[in-house]
Amino acid sequence: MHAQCDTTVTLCERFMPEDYISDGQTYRAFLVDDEIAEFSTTFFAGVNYRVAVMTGTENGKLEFRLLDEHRNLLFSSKDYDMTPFWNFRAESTQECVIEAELKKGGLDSGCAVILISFSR
Amino acid sequence: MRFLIFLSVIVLIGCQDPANKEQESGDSLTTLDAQKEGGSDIIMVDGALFSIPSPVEAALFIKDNGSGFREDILLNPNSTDLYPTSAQKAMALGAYGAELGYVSMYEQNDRSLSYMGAARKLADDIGMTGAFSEDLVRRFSNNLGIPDSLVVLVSDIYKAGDLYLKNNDRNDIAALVLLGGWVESFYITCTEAEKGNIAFHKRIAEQKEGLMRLKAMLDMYPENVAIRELKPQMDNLINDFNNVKANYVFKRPEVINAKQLTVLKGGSVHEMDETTFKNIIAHTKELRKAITRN
Repeated sequence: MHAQCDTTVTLCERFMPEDYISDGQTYRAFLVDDEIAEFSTTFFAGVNYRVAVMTGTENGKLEFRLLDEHRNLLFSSKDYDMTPFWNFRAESTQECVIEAELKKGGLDSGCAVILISFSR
Repeated sequence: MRFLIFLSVIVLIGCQDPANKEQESGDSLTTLDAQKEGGSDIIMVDGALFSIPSPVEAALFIKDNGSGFREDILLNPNSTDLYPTSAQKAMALGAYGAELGYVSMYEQNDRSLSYMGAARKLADDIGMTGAFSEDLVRRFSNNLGIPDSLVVLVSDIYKAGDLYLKNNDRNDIAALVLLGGWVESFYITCTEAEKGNIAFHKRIAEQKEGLMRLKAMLDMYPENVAIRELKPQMDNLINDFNNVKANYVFKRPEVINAKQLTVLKGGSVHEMDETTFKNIIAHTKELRKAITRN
């Protein structure tokens, strides 16, 4: 699993601009069928964030969503042609939940990788 | 059949439906979420994901809002022999990484190299040399004096270390590195807040959820001696933050398609009284002392 994930991490890193700074972590989960990987994070006011996701070696196989702390949907990659990355900017510091799951009708299983970077 | 791989217990406590506020455990909230998803089974697995606020992000904030470089609050880069065990080295590595990010922001080239050397030694000692590849160290040296480049590299070091430790099933050590990094950068934030800087006062309160996630992450390793020994100091800080109130207001986000950007309009307003603030400062110093022995 680790080797598979390492490859996916490398592919996912392509979506991060060079001048963006990694949050220093790699978020990985091995998903089967309709399992969901989920974690919460803080988006601080005035900071630009990019969230990138990847599974396998092709784009668009992993759907990701951003929810607020009351689980209101703020963003879904499904609404944007399964984009593998999206930018976020918080006007006020906000707690968010990031969810990722395999695209319906796609892979049966895979290493889901989520990366977060930021810039001023 | 729909499973949830992981639920961040702490945030979900804050996410519950008002109608279900009497349910306080993470497990019960997991169930609530599953019910929302269609009433399917839940499996909690060991592969939990935790996002801990980045020390480098903190260093940027400190540089942008702080009172300038302060050598007196930093760890001595020549004191790596204070940490005999792997756990202590891991926490110190996180702390020295935070210092590295901090000094890099102020173009302190000699100090940057000193902290890089200290962090590299600690990483070697705990067998994670891979985080400091020759290429990365060379790029770091070549970019001295260019803060924007250095902080990218410091973050890359953290990420490489995190990846290395997780690939080698040393998640507890990875957690200790994150703990050391968070505490050191939070300590620096506290020293600025003590001077009456409102931006730092606010930033301290905003760390509540990050600290709760840090605690949830550490709770995954109850058998770890170092984590157990830090429990009194962690509990004191957690108790302080339980007095910090956060009031979330939802506002519909704005999408700017041309920039592939969603602007989040909502957010939380935090309230922290003076006693709580002083207790947080005091208990952060105690926790930092327990970790760094400084």
